Amino acid sequence: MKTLWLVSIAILLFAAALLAENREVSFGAADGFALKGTFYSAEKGGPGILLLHQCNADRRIYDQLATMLNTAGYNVLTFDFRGFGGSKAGEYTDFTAQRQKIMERIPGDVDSALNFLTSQPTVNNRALGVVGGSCSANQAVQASRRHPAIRTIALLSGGTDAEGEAHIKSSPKIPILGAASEEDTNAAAAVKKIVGLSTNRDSRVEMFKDAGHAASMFAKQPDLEADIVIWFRSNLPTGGYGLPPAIK
Amino acid sequence: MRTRISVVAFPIVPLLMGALVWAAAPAAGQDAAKVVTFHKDVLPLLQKNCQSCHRPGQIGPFSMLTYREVRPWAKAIKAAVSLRAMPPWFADPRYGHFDNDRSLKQAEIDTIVAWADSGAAEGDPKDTPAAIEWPAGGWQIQPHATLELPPYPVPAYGIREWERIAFPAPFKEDTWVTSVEILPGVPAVVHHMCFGFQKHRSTTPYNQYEWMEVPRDEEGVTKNRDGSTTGPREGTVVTRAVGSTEEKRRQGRPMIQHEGTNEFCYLPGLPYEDYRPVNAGVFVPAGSDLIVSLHYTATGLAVIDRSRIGFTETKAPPPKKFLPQDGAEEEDPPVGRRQANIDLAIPPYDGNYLGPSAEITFLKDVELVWFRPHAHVRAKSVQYKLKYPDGREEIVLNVPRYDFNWQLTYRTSLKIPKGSRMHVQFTYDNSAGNKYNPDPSKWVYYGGQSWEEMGTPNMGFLVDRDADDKDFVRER
Repeated sequence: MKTLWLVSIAILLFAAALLAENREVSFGAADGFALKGTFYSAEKGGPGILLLHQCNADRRIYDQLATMLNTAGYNVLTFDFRGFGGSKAGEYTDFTAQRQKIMERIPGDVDSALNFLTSQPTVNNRALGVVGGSCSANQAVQASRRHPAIRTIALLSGGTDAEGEAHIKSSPKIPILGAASEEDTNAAAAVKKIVGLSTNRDSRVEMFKDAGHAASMFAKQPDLEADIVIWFRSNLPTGGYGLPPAIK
Repeated sequence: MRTRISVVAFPIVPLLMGALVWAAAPAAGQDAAKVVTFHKDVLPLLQKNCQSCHRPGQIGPFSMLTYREVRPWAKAIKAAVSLRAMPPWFADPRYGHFDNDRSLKQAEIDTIVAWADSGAAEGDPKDTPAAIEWPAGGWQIQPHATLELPPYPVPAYGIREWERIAFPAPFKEDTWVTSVEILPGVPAVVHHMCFGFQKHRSTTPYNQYEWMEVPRDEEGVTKNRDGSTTGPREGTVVTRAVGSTEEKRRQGRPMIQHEGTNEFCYLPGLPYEDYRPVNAGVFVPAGSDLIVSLHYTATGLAVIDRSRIGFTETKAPPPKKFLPQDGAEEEDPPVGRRQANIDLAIPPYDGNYLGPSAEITFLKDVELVWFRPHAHVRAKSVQYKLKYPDGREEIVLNVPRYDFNWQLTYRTSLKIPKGSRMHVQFTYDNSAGNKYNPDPSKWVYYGGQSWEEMGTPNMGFLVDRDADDKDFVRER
């Protein structure tokens, strides 16, 4: 019965995701490669959140989370890394066969996505968040090294390298939400480690059992997406006095 | 390409609904009477305590009108109510009684927790209570009259001082205003929006913003520490016509004067003002102006704010009239005072700074009907203690965890005898442990910007309709 329940809820959420107003977008990477994405515009303007997909899925895995974040007041951008989903073109068509070549390009593509996101008229380019799953968890952390406007990070089933760890350790202003499933041993350990290194008092870990990997956990843990939205609302405010004033 | 995909013909919906009904049904042998369901047990609580904010167009991050909308958030709702983070209510339950207390009772929290823990069942739709008919247009009151403020371009960067603008009140005759709601167009940039009524003066210009230039250092901190939030009373006056970007400067005093205090305000988290439940109103003579005080804060995104003000009114005079007591902005307000915390100076890294207290003396018998403590991001707590003429002391409001994002009004009914004194104490957290502290290394002084601090013990009073409202309270 529980399984049916979860399936029912997943179907409901999928239907809700289809109701969202969004815009298919294309933007150029540094080398001119066209990256395909979906931009969800916040009605009244607000922070921007970039969702980075895992390497066994494409941006569609975030359709529902993007919709929920957008409803909660955020501008959201999902995009396909080259070789994935709508960004399969030219010499980038098969991630499995071209893994190293594509991974080398991803940091620059993430920067292009952030440039696109912050260039949208409804996006406050001083208030950004990033979600990274699995292989893109490290990309999310590295992006925050390069972009001080990234104020909070959510990591699903993934960690970072030594430079990323040093960055998190020395960034008390950046709260991190980490989530993983216990039996996904390496991912769970990586998430616990990176959150443990964070010196921000709001950083926290959510551990599940038999939930799967990265954004695939949403299917078995339908509350996780809501938790992520609440996390951002607490740590990347959309209004009130929560956003620091922009004096200069 | 902009897309909106309809699910009208979505083929799985009937299947889904069937699955949900099946899933929501209690298992064989289970005591159906003990199953907590959405329609029967949870929705009434959401209607009473949550839907005013959690519905389309309001500030809640998701809607709570239907099961379908609520179900994905079951665990998050459970967590929020268990921690008493939601509904937002910060008054210490040991002190005072508040008519608008929207905190959940423990039994109500237990119901929501039980619902979430047992699988968040929908239950029988026949148990659904009648839906609340919310006013159209995003209002919480159903206004009889409205005023649309002109579009205000808020720049991405820079400091906006407190500005004033005057409008003719939207009433042709003498009117008693009984409730007011201010709807900011872009709440993220509105620090406050307050107004009061005043008889029109021939010198009061319309369609013009006006403010005093405030000397500030490179960090944006005012150099003018005389307790005024609007700058010096005489100095460089800046004006800008509505729709124009041209600013004009002159020496002198502002043309848009306001004799009294602001009677109505929008602040983040503050809902509408409603005096109908206490049979009171604010008298607005025909030919009055609204003198609006605007304070916008740049957040990094240039936006255009289009705010609205809605009013309910009555032609029949109510038995009571409302009097506010807030920060006086002029020299001789009818219910005014000098800001108590002019001497506020919070040292760097001080996590528990005791602000200068306010002491307000009541010069007549009065009925206090609300508290609205106001401070900024470093405020930590506030306490109101009433000292009666016979020497008794009573804590009438204690807010142990002040949250600047929820500038709540605490509505009460407190008969205060003449000669009583209200002692109001704010504390502040200027440490790195305060997540909203922009810079714990700085001294923080009194000022009107959110990186400066305040500690304003706002209160509202009722008096008989014909009572003299002069010399009402005195503050040291």
